[in-house]
Amino acid sequence: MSVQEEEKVPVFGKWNRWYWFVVVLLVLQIVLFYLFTKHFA
Amino acid sequence: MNFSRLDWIVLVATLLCIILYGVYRSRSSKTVEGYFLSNRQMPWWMVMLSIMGTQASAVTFLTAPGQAYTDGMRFVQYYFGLPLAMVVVCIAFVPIFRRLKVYTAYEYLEQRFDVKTRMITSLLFMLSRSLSTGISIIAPALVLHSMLGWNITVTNLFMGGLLLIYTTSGGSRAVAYTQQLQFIVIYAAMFAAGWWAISALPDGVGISEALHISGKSGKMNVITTGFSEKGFDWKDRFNILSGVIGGFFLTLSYFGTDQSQVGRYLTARSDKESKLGLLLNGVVKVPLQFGILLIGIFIFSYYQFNKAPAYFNLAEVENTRHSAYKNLYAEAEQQYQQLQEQKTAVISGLATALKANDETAIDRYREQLDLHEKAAQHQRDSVKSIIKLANPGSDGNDTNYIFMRFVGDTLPNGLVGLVIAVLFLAAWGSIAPALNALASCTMMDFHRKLSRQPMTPLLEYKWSKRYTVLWGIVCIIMAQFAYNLGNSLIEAVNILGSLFYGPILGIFLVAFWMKRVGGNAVFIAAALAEVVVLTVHFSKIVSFLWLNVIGAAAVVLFALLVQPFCPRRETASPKS
Repeated sequence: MSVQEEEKVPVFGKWNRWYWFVVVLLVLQIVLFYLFTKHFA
Repeated sequence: MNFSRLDWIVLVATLLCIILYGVYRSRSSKTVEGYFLSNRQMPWWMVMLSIMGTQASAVTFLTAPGQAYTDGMRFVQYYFGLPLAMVVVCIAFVPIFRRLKVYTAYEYLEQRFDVKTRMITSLLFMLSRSLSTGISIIAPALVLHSMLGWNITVTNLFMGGLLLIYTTSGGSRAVAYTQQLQFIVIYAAMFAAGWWAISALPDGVGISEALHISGKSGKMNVITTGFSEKGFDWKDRFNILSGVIGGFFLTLSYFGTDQSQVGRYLTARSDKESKLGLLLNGVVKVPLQFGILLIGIFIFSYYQFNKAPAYFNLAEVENTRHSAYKNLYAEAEQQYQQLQEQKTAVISGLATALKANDETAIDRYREQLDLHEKAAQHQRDSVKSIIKLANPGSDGNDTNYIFMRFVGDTLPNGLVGLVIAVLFLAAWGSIAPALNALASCTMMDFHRKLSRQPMTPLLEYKWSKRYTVLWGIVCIIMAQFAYNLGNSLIEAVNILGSLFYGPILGIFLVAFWMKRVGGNAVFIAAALAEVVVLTVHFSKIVSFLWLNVIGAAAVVLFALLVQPFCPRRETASPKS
């Protein structure tokens, strides 16, 4: 596999964007869980 | 618990399919790279499934619904640090491990520090992993013994022996291929069990009402802060802070330094595939765990309208019924059932009020429910005390038995067999990579290092298979040993990982980011940090998740302090 292929990052183009996606998704989940807790408790 | 012929057919057929599939997928080149790392040819989605299958043991599926039943949804916070850890593993660990083409994570430590650091870290891993693998075997065997009366030794041998067939013959390739099939069966069965719990609710009570009823009983506590009027409770096991910070360090250590996980993403065909597998695990893990816990909430709702057992471990209940405490137990159980009946009447009223959106009635029923809940809990504690008196080895904790009791009491024939198969598959999914990792450390970190004569690739391959069998036997013996010593040891071994994970992670953090620190300094720092972790643990001042943070931080701090006193010998430091 060539270096270029190796570095081609799927979907977001750059790994940094992937890392931010994972972190933002976690924050979003925590907010949703908080609302879930508020609503049902 | 009724285990019908159909359940037996489903169980045997499912297990046979997995074993045959594993053996069929066993073809790999006869080298250690083929055996331990699948020739580094796995795509991202297989890496992801393998990572998930390795992390989720049978205990995960047994405990999580029971945990939600007894303590609510807050257990999910334990996983909040995982996505963050996945990011750091991708940034710091994956590029170095893959560039150096290591077989084990500890191999890097020799290149960065010295051979003794490599060997002692590898040894620590082997000690803690073999003990926890023994527990992974015994925990489901104990539940099956309690629910179905199966002989524990036979179940141990059966569970450990069958997976050795494909793990030994196929190595990491067979492990990864069987894990993907196991994943599908496990989540399909768990989804079916959850669906059954919802459909078993009374007419007029849907998902929304079930969640509201659980919420009014304090079970929908997904986010908790750990703060009270007295300030932050450091002994509180699951809250958002311990989950994010403690969970981050625990999972960083687990995914970055535990060979059973490192060995999974080293099988990927490129950095990209390793990273994608890890990051997508970070994306799906929390929602999946939330879903499994939700099953426990629906089981809780089910038992609000149906007769709930006062204690869920059938074997211990039967022992008590035939002991000197039988009259005391019968009386306590009867009182618990009476309280349950009163509570059911309140719950039914609450469900009607919720449907009618009658706020006044909801508040009234909620107050009543609170009182009934406390009374029922108090009575359940009394029942547990009697159980402990009648069963001297028991810790009175029936959390692991709640899900299986529900399965046995309510699920139709066939589905019961499938859920039992899930226990086996989940156990295999985590035990098989552990055996593969233990064998790879023995072969690469010790045998190859200490062998005086060069070995041919074929001979190394044969030794690797022998070590897999050997570790399988050791883990089965460990499981039997743990059972003979009772529940308290099992509890102790469960937190064993947190005693070692912090210092091991600290060693790797120093290796990556403190280039001036040498082998002797980090070795002394790790030994001192271990003393600190053990002291804090036995002082019982914090919950176990914080031990990972303390251990890692202590190594970094001690390494800084000790390094000036340790003149550094130049080592073949890897480029990073």
